[in-house]
Amino acid sequence: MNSLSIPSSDTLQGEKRPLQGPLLFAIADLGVPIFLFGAVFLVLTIGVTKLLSPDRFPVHIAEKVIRLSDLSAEEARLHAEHDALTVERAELLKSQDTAPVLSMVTARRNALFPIGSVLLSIEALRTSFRTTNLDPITLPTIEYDGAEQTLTLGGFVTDTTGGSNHILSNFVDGLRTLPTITSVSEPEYTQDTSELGVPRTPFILTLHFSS
Amino acid sequence: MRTLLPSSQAEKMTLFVLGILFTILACGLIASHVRTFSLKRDTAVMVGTALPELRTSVSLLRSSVEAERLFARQARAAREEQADAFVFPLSSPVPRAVLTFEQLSLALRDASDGHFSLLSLSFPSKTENHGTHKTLGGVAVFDGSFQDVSRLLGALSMAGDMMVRDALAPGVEAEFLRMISTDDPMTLKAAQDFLYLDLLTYALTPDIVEQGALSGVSDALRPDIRQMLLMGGLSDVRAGLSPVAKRLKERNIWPLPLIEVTNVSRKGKRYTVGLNVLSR
Repeated sequence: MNSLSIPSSDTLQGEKRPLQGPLLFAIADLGVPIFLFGAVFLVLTIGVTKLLSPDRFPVHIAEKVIRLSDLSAEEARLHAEHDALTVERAELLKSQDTAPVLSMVTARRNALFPIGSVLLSIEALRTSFRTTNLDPITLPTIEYDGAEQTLTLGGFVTDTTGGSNHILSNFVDGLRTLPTITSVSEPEYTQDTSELGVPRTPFILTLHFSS
Repeated sequence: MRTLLPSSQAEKMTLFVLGILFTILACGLIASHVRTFSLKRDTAVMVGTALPELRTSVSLLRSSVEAERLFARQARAAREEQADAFVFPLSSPVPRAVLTFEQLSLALRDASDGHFSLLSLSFPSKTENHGTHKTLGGVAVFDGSFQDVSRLLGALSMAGDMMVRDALAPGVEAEFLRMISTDDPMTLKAAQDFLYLDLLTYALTPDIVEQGALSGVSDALRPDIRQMLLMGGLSDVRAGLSPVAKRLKERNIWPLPLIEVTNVSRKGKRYTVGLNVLSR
């Protein structure tokens, strides 16, 4: 029986093996254009990335336009200056050892409780309630105990309109806002009448300080 | 004649694969470049936000170092001598303490139209040695108003303070310089000079000194800074030291000796103040 024989590639001596299938033929035909496109695209991309480096572009920060590279350079310079100044300051503080008495004075002074400043603050607060005709808060009793860090204020608030309790509560609130005072005891709000017949609120307050 | 064009199918395939690889590489480069842009933008925003703060910090540090350098060169030795002789002496502190109480009382008596007086001052106990310092206990008795006694004790609480910065509460100096630096860094020098100014000079004419120090500060910020300084300790200087500053200056009683107030009690118009005078 005769049969149609197709020469296989194996039988072709001295010839290259041909590509088979329409897709492979099409790819082979596109080889040169795709290569040229890829090569030109790559070269252009490399060129553009080098040319359009982010460091070359200005940035807008707080109404100022500055190049990114300059921004980074300034940051580095400021950090370097900061470090150098910190070292210099440390050296200067070390040189304070040449003033030993001043250092001792500072240490001792910081250990002393400034009762004078506290009394000035209390007096400023007390006089803030004063009006042209009346000085409502009177403090006949003042006892400061440095060892216990307490101050006892005894006195009375007078007010012809009968608002002495309200004034006292404001005075106590004011005392609580003063620095160094950690606590103020709550007074008893009672009213009596002075020898002149004016309504008044007697009080005793105990103030504690942070040492 | 041989041309540059590929002749065989295999070469064409190789060129195709190379072309695809180049294209992928180029796309990768573009993606990487876009990412770099994004990262740089984030960095710029971050640096741009942190830079003003860093500039302020460096500017403050620079002025602080400059002031400290100047103080170290010119004033520290003099202050050390004053501290050694008057504030924390090695010798007996009694003469200086007596002089201080006497002159403070006289100054307050003048300020209160004769309604304040030092009735007695005594040192009944012996000197105690605490290792780092010695204390001599004493008792002072005054006749006067609460205002005058608090002024006297307020002045005493500034014992050991020599410069304006010494009278400020912790953190106030740094906040003051930060505000000045934010407003106008060129005025930092004047601000530093103010902080290192002799406290008694400030107490003599506080308004004039403050105006001079804050003259370069914008009108909007000046009241805030003044308020902060007053709340931060200078109101005590005005209330306690200013009424007696003239006499202290005239009688050369500055700086004040270190005196600790241990107790205060009031009976009528009479105040009894327990105290410790400190020495080395």
